[in-house]
Amino acid sequence: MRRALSSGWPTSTAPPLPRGAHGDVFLDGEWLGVLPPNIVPDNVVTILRNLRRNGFNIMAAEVGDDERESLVVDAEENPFRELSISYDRGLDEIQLTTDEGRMSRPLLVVKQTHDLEQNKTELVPTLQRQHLNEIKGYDSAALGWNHLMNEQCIEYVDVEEEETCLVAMDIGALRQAHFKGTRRVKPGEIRDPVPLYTHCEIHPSSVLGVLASLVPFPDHNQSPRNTYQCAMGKQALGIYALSFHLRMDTHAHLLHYPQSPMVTTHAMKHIHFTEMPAGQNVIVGISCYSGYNQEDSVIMSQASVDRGLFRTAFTRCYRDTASRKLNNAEIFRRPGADTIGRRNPDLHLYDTLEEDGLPRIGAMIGDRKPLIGKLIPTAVQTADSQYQDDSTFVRPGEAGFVDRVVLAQDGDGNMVARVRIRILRVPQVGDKFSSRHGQKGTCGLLFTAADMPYALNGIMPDMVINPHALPSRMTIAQLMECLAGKVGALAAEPMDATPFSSTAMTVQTISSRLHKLGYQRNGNECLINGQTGIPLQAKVFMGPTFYQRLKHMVLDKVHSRSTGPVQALTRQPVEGRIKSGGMRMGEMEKDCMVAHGATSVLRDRLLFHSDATTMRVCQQCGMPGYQPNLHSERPECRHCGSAVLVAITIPYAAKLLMQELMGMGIAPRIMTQEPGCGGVLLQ
Amino acid sequence: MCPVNFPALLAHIRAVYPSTNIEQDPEDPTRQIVVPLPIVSGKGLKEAMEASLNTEFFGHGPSDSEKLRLTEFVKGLSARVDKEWDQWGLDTEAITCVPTATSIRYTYAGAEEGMPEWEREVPNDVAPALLEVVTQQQMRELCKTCRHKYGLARLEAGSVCGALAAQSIGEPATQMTLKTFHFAGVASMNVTLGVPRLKEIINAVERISTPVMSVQLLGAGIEAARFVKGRLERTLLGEVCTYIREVFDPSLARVELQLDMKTLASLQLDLTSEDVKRAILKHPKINLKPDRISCGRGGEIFIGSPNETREQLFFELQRVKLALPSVVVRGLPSVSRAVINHKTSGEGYELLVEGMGFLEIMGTSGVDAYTTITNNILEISRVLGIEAARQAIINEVSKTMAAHGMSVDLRHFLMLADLMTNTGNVTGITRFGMSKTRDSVLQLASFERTLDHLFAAAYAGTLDNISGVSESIIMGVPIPVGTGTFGLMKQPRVLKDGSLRVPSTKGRTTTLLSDGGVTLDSVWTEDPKGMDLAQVRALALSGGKRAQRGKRGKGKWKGKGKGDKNGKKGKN
Repeated sequence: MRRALSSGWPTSTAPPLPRGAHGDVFLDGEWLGVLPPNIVPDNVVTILRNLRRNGFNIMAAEVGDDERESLVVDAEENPFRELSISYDRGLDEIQLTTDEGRMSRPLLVVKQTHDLEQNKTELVPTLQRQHLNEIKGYDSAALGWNHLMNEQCIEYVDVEEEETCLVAMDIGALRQAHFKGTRRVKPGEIRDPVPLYTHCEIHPSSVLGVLASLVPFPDHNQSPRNTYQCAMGKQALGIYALSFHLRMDTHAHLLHYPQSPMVTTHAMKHIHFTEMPAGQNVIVGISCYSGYNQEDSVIMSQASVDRGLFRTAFTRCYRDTASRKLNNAEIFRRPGADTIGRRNPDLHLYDTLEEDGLPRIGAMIGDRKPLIGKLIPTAVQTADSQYQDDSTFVRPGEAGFVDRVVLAQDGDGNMVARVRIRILRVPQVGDKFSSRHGQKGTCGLLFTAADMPYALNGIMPDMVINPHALPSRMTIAQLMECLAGKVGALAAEPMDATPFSSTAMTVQTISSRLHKLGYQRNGNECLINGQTGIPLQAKVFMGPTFYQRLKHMVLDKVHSRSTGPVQALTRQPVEGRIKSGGMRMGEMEKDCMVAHGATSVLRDRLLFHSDATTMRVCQQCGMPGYQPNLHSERPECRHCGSAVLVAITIPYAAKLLMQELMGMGIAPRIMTQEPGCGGVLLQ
Repeated sequence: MCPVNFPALLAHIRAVYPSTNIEQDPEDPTRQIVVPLPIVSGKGLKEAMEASLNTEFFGHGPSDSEKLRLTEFVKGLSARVDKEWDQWGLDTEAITCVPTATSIRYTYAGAEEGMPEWEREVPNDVAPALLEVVTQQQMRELCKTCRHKYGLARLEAGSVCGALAAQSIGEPATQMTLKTFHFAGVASMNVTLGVPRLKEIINAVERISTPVMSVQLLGAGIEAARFVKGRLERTLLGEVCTYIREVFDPSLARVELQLDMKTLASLQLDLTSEDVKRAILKHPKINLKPDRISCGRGGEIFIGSPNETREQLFFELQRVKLALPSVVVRGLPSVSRAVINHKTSGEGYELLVEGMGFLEIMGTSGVDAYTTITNNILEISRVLGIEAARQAIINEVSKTMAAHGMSVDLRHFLMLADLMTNTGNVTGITRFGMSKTRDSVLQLASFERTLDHLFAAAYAGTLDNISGVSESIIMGVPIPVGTGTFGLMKQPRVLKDGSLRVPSTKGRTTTLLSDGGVTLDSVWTEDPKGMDLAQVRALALSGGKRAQRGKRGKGKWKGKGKGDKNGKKGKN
C-alpha cells in the first residue's frame, strides 16, 4: 500500500517545496509529501475514501481504463479496507493510518442524492431495502456482511477518522437533515453543499460500548450511575471462561447458578452476555423493613441463600518449584519423621499429602495446613539430617477442598507443582452486591423465611433494599427493569430494554401489561410482616431485578490482631493482612485522639501496643547504656562511669533514633529526674 | 452561638412543669379538681430573672453577653405577657395572678424591700383565656436550666482547643470548591477566595495574589472619587506619551518624548511637563542631573545623556529610552489599579484599589484613613499594629469561609489569630513561622527539615524539655494535654497500727517510703501526715536499701532483699 500510495499520486517529493504547497500527507506517522497548491485536500480525501469503499485495486491505475472494471475487488481482499483517512483542518494534514489494533466500528455510509426535477437534495443511506432483502445471512459468503461492504453500505471507521465524520443517530435524523448553504441550482449544475451527515449509526445504541450495553434502560438513569455500573460490572462474579476447570489461575470465582437477565439489551446478544451471565434475577422488595438495610445495605433471605442464591466457588492456586540442582535437588515428598525443621511438629497434619508430596484431590484442607510437601537438602548434611521441610501451606483464614493438582516441568527442567483449592463462598453479612444501576450495597443481615415479608400467594423477596437509595440517585432504570422483569416473568417473555430504540418500552406500556396479567399496575404488592403477621400498611414495590455479586467479600477483608509479627528494624507491627499486621494509626488519627484529650488511649496505641521497650540510660550523663547482668556485673556507664543506670520505657523507634544520632556523632542525652520531668539534651 | 435555644427551652419547660395543679375539691373531698397555678406578670418575670442572675449559681459562669441574651429573651417574653394582660384588663403591676371563672387573685410585691407580699381579689365576669402563661416554678426552672445548659457547653479544662480549632477549620476547607466569587458587584475584581486564600492567610504570605484595599473617601460624590483615583492610580510615562525617540543630529544627541496633551486633559490628570520632568529625575534607574532634561512648550521633553562625556553615548541614550516608559508620573507606584465602586452598604462611593502601599494610601488626601481597610494581613500589621493584624486575620478567614457557605464558630478563628500573633509579629503556620515560636527540637524535626534541626540543635547543645505533643509521643511520655493535664495522688490507708499503706501504682508516681527504699507494696513506717510535699518527695527518692516485705500484701514481685533475678534496679 505504501508503494501504491507513493506512486502516481499528486504529491511533491522533490525538495525544495514549491510555493503554496500545503496539506502534508502522513502515512502511519511518516511524512510522505505535500500537496501542490492547486489540489484541494478535501478532494484528495474524497477520492481516497471512494477507493476504500470501491475496493478498487490501486494497481489498476497502471492498467488501462478498459480493464479497470474487472479489477473491482471484493471487500475481503480490498487492501484499503482498514485504511483510516482523516483530514485535520487546523493543522492542514492528511493522516492515513494502517496500524494494527486500532479500534474501529462499522457505520452506515450516507450519500447525497440529487433530484434534479424537484431540485432537492437528500441525505440517504447507501443501505436500502433491496440490500436487506438480498442478505441471506451473516456468514453467507456471497450475500452477507461482506456484500454490504462491497455495496458500500457500510464501512469501518476508526477513532481518528470519526473525528472528521458527522454521524447521525438514526435514519430519522437523516430525513430531517437540511443542507447548509442552499442556493438556487442552475440546470445541469451539480451542487456541492456541506452535508449535515456523512454516516449513520447502524443502531443508536451502538454508541455505547460493551460495559454500558449491559445496563437496561440506561436512557432513564442519571449518567454517573451508568458510569458506576460500567466499573462494577467488571467486578461481578460469573463464569469468566468456559475452560475454567482446566485453568490454574491464582484467583478465580465461579457463580454456581448464573442466570440470564430477565431484562436485556440488544447489544447483549452480540457480546454473548446472555450465554455467560454474571448475576442472578433476584426478587427484590423496596421497603424500609427492620432497619438492617439502611445506608445502602441490603437484607437478604436466608432461605434463598440456603437454596443456592449467589453461591460462589472461590479458587486459589498455590504453586511451588522443586529446583533441580546438580548435587542437592529439592524434591516433592511428604515430610517424614526424619525430616528436620518441620514447620509444624505434628506429623499427622501432613496426612493430606500423598507420598509424592501432593495432596489428594477432594481432600478437605484447612488453613495453615501443608498443601505441597517439599524437601530441600539441609545446609549441613549429616547422617540423620538430610532434608529440611520447605512445604507450602494454605493461607491463614482460607479452608476448602483440593480441587485440582498439576505436576509439570518448567523451562529449566525443574518440577513445578500447582495445587488448586476450592472454597465455597456462601453469601454472608458484609459481602457486596449491586444491581446494574450503580446501586451497590453490602448484605446487612440474613433474614430467615419466617421474618421476611410475604405476599398472600407466598412469594417473599430474596432481597429487601431501602427506598432511600433511589431519590437522590435518580436511577429510574432500576425501577423500570423491575417492573419489566415482573411482566417478563409472568408472561414468560424476554423484555427488551435497549436504549434509543423506536420500539422502546415505556412505563405506561409495561404497567398496562402488568395490569392485564393481574397485578397492580405499578408493581406494588400488599405484603405481610413476617415477624408480626400484620399486613404492612404501605404497599411494597416488588419484582425481579438482575443483581450481581461483586468480588469484595468480607472473608477476604476481615482482619484482627492483638499481638503479632513486628518489623526487624523498628520492632513495630508489620503491615498487611496477609502478614498478620496491624492497622496504622496515622497522623490524622493521632490528631483526633489529641483533640479528644484522650492521652492514655494515644499512649496505649502508640507505645504499649506498638513498640514499647525499656532502655537503660545513665542517670548522670544521659547517654543510652547497656543492660547489665545484675548478678555478675556492676552497672557502669561507658561514658561517664556512673554506677546508676535508670530504666526508661520508650518506643523502640525512639531508641533507634537515639542510636542513629549516636552514629552521626550526636549525643542524645536523656536526662531523667523525678517522675514528671524529663528532657532530652542533644549535644 | 450560644448553646441555649430559648424559645425551644421555654416550650420544653412548659411541657415538663405544668401550669395547673390537681387538688382536692374543697367542696367535695372525694373529687379532684384542676387548679390553675399563679401566672406571672411581665414585671414578675423580670424580677424573677434578676433574682436568678444575682444568685451564686449564676454568678461565675455565663459571660455578660450570655446573660444579656437571656435578659433580652425574658424582656421579650414579659412584653408579650404584659400585652396580653392589658388586652384582658389585668393589672400588670401585680406579680402574679390566678384567674378563675369568678375572680382574679392578684399578688403584689411588698411596697418596699423586705416587706411581705400582699394579695387582692377582684371579681370577674369572664375567665381570661391567656396564651402566654408562665408560672413561678416554670420561670425558676427556665433560669436554672439555662445556667445548666451553659455549663454543659463549657469546654473542660485541658481541652486541646488548638487541635479542635485546626480540625474545625480544616474539615470545612475540604468541602470548599475552588470557585472564585465576584467581588461585591465589581465584575473586574476577582479576589482570591476559597482554599488558596485560606492558604495565603495561614501561611502569612507577604505578597498575596490579589491585594485589594477598600478605600473610603472623605468627600461625597463622584468627583471626589475621581480625584482620589487620579491621585492613587499609577500612571506610567509610557501610557501618556505620543512618542519616545532618540534624536541624533550633527549638533546634538538626545531622547525626545512628546506628551499626549489631549489624553492628559481628558483623563483629568493635571500633569504638566514639569511634573513629568520631576518624575523622570526621581526615577532611580535613570540617573539624570536636572540640567540634562528640559521641557518644551507643547509638552515636549528633551533628555540628554546622563554622562558628561560622549562616552557610550548611544548605549546610554538607549538605556534611558528603555527605562522611560516605566517611569511613574502619577499616583502611587504600588497601586496598579483603582476602581470606583458604589458602596455596598449605604450611599456614596468607595475606591477598590488593587495593590500595596497601605500607609501611603491612608496618607493620600481625600482618603478617610480611619475606615480604609486592606486584605493584606502583613500590611495591616506593619501599618496598624499587631492587634489590628489579629483582627484582620479573623475577619479575612471568616469572610473566606462564609463566602463558601461554611459557618465555623468564631472561637476557632480566635484561636488561630491568637496563635499567629501572640509573639508580636505575624508568624505563619509554616516551617519558618513555627521555627520562630517553638523551642522543641524534636517537634520541629518531626515536622519538616528533620536533619537541619537536629544538627543545629546538636551544635548548640539544645535541651528539649519534653513538654509538647509531638515530642511526648516520640519519647513515649504521657502527653500533657487533656487527660494528661494532671497526675494522680492517692490517699494512703491508715492501718491499725497507725502506719499507712499506699496501694501500688504502676507508672509514674510512687511515694511509698519506709526507712528508705522503694518497693511496690510496702508499709509506711513513718507517718507522712506531718510532712510537707517536699519532705515526702525527698524521702521517697532517698534510695537505699529496700524495706522488708510487709506481712500483709499482695507482693507483685517475689523475692526479698536486694536486686534479684526479677527485680528491677532503678525506676524512673
